[in-house]
Amino acid sequence: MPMALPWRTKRDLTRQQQWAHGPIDMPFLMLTLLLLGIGLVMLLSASSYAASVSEKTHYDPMYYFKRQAIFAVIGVFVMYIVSRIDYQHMRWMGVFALGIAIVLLIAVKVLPYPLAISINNAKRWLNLGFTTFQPSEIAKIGVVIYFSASLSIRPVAQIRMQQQSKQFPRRRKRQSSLSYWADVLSWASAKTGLGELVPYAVVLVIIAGLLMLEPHMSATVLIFAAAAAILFASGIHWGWFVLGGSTAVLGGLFFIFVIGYHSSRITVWKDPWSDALGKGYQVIQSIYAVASGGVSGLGFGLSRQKYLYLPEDMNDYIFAIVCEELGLIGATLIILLFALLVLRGYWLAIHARDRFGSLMVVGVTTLMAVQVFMNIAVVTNLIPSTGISLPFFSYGGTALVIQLAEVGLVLAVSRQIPAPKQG
Amino acid sequence: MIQGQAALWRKGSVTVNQERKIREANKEANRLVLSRTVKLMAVFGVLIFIPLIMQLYRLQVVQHDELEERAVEQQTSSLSISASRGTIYDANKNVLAISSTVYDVILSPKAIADKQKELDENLAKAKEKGKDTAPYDWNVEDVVVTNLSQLLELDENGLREKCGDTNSQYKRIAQKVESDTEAEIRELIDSYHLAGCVYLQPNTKRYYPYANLAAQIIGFTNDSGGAYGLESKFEAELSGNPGLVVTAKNGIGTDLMNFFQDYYDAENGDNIYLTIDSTIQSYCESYLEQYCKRYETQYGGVIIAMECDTGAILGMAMSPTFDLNDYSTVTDEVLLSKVEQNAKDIEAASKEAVEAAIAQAEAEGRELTAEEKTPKTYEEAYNEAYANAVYSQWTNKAITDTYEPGSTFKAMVLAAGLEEGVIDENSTFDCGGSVKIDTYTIRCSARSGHGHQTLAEAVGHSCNPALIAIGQKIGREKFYDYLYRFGIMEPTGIDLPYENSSNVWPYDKFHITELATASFGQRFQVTPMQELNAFNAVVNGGYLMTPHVVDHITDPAGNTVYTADTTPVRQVISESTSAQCAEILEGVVSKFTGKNAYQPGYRIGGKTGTSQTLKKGEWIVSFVGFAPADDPDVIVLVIFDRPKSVDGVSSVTANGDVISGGAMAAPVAGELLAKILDYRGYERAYSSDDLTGQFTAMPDLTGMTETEANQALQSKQLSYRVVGSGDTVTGQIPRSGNYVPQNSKVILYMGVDAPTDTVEMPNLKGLSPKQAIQALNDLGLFMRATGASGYYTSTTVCTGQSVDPGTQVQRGYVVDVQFTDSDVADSPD
Repeated sequence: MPMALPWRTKRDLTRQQQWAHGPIDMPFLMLTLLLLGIGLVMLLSASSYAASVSEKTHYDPMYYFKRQAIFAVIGVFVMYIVSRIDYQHMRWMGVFALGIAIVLLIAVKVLPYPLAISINNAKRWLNLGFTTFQPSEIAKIGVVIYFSASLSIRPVAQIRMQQQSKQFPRRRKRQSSLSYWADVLSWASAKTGLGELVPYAVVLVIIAGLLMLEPHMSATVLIFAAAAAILFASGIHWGWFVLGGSTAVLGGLFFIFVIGYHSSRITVWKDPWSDALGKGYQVIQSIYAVASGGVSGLGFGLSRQKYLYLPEDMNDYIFAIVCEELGLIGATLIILLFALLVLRGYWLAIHARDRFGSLMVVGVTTLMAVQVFMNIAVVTNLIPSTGISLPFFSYGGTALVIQLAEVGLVLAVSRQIPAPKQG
Repeated sequence: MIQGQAALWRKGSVTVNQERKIREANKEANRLVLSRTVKLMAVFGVLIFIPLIMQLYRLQVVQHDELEERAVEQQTSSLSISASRGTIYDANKNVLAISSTVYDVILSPKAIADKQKELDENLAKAKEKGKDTAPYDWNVEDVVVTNLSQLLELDENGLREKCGDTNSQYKRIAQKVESDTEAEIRELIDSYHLAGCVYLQPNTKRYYPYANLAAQIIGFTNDSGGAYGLESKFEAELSGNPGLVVTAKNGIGTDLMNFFQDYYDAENGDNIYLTIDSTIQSYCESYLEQYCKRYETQYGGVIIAMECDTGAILGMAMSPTFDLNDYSTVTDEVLLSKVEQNAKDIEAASKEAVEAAIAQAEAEGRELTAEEKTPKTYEEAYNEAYANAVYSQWTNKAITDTYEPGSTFKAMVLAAGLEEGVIDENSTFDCGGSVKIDTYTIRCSARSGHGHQTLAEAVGHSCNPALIAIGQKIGREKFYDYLYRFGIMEPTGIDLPYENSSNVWPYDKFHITELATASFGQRFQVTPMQELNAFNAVVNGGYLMTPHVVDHITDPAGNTVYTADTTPVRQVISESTSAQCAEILEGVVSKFTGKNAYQPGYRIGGKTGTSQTLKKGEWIVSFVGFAPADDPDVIVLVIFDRPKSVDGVSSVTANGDVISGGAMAAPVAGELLAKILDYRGYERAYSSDDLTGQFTAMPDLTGMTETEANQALQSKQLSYRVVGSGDTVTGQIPRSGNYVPQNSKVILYMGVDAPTDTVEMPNLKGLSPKQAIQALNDLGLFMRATGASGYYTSTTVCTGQSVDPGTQVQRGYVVDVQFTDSDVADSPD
């Protein structure tokens, strides 16, 4: 018997709907589930000791694992739901997602405890009662969808812009000089392509500004990276990226060397042992864990650093425990899985049915790639420490659900990839 | 056509041209998305992971070993188990130095603050729930501070200050707390659940049961181990190797026992057995202390007693000395009185120096800093002087200080002369009171000269011209060679730290005048140990030994791991020469300048020495004595460093003692030798000289009739008186076997028991021997004279008695009475 679709037979669908019911991309799904599985098991190993000695977790070694597993199940379900959505509907959702994100980012700043929670002087979490979540996660998705939707129709906007920039504006009669110069400015911005970038820049500045108020450096970097990737993929002139990139580098240097907090962070980054019991402690413990692993690792479950040495070992620093237990070989394999996931993501972007899909997948994939890179770079002290979790591995229910929802988005795009012509 | 374009279509009419344009733009945009995404793929799918893998390789492979070691270091707690320091025993296995466990008391202000926080929380909860608040309603810091300040006698405010540093987890508040206090602190910790807030760390403390016995030899320890004396010299042997328990622990320091644990046993230190005998050592020390006081020596003194055949040091006493259990405190009165004077001197010198500096600065037009302008306060000067005094009391003068040996050195010259054959016992010398060498005139102690004398007489008189003559006969080269052979030119090699050597002219400066002065032991300096060791070689058969204080060392299991080497360094002179020397030196004691060292029944030989110092009116007097002279077993050196002259010029002390080796050091050496020989089980063997007119053993008269008793006593040249009216002797004083001077009157009890009551000891000081005998006999006491031989001279007076005046003693008791002949002097000039 041919399998019937839940509510209609395929025959009854419009062509649009039929496209939305193609097969999801199995390699991407499998890589995701594989990493999710490994992540869960490593979380169990990393968290069990800390959980078993803490009153907060009722001395239950499985505490973190259980919660994460529940969220993983929910996340996979959400992923499935999202993957079934016809992502074309998201074109108009982008603006709203962005709007909600901005509202939530403001809310997290202004709401008092316990509605908004701050940890280590960073106010990043909204309290939902049963769990907490970071509005920055919504902001990531909002930016990706909005940028993708908006930039996917860039060719039309470009034509209009080309028309606008054809001739130098002439001063009309009774036109005020102010209005005339505005015309000149708009001509110039259309001619250079700057005008097209302004709305995106405004969005980014607003989001980044709100994030830096929390403060949340890593989310800012991630959103910038994803936005830049989408802008880049959509065909914006590469010169802007050179300009933007150098600005970012200069800005980063300014931050690093001019603002005190960050500059002590830099000192610790260069030599964690300069403040071994203070700011350098976590990094040192992480380095110890990574290095102790050696080539083949101490063996699964045999980390020593998880015995309350490495703070946040089930969270941002879980990869250090992975390195310690599984060694260079295991860590490299996991990095390889992430790399494959990312590569498959871009592959899906290349093959997506339309530019909107492509750009959205580029955004989501870039988010994931940069997040993985930054997390592992922090854990191995390649870059100064910043609070960033490892997708599918770090403890954090809502983040995991949102991560899987993003994967669902990619899968949704993958469903609409036209099948190659047969024969 | 997708939605965006549809919207555009709807906006208005679109020309065919526009439609074409849009299609082309779309195509171009799609192409761009493709090529750009491929580039992103390369960057984010491949490139960014490369540095990550490289960094992992760097950490996990390149730096793996180094970082893992550091990780393991923090992951394990290695509890050091301190090894117990070895014990130091004397020759009779009496404990001289021993370690025991004590505790350091540590506070953790952080834990106290945490505990307080926990209490406060519980208190709030209890209040909320209406439960009993009493268990939580107290202040941790108050409890800790009040109790500990009481138990450890500490200042409360100081403790509170330490508690205030709540970041700290380690504040040591008391060191080396002994076990009774430790138990009280443990109780405090238990009853208030203060584990973690207050804790005890084991430490060790060194105890010296005999306090100042052999202080400079044993030395002491500080926190880093042996700091002085044997404790420092044998640090490696004594300290042992601490053990280790390595346990895995978690990040907050809790041991993870089931993870892994490793043990390395502690190896306790070795035990050291000394040749020093605490009895002999205490003889040396008490004589030294007693006589340093009496002679008012300004720089203390030294007594060394050594076994002749092995070089084993039996006793080595120094004055001033100190308590090893409190080594930084000066207790010696002379030293303390000097501290004040020295402090004043330092203060004055500092003032002068500052004034000079100011004057110079003014002349140069320079500004001085406030520090440069301020002279030392008296307190600063006092502290400096006190510190100097502390150092000086630690000094082992026997091996670090040097002095001019003076006439005692003549023994070596005599031995060298005899060995080289340049003189023999029949040689004669003429002394005219002085001798001219080169352009210098050297005088003899007897200004008028000793006249014609035999070799034995020349040595006995300590005649400088005679010894100079011997030295000249030996000659520069041979003489200098003998300095080497007698071990004068190098440290003796004694097993004590900081040994010095002599200060002798180099050979190219050793001319005929130097040879002359060296012949009577002047103008060069040796350590007391070198002098004694060289002298020992003269009398012990000619063998130069290595003096040593450590007899053997055993490991904790009792196996001997080290035994002192008693093989001679070299034979300096032949056995026969040595015997000849010993005989001549015995004569010095029995007949000449050394006669104050005479002890009836023992054959003592020796040589006096009185050496000049650079300051007029200050002498170092010494005596080297050995016994028994026919087969020397023990040799002693007694030095008194600068006895205080009554007027600063003449050689008499305020007590009337003549400042000379013969008058001061010889009697001490004689008494000491007698005591040591007694202790070592030597029987007094009275020579015929001793017996005629002097001593006899009391026969057993019990049961005899008076006639029989009379006969027996007559043969012993004793008289008697009778108490009672029985037929036979029922009791006698003194008891049989006791030695009594001949011509003493003994008491016979006929039919009545000898009384057992006691009499009070009279004071004999200053009496002549005859008066002393009379005084004692009146009370039924008897006298055994020691000290000067032939004591029936007009210059012999009693200087000491073995029982203090006023003590109750039994009738018949034989009192040792010391006599000194004040008519002996061997001043070098």
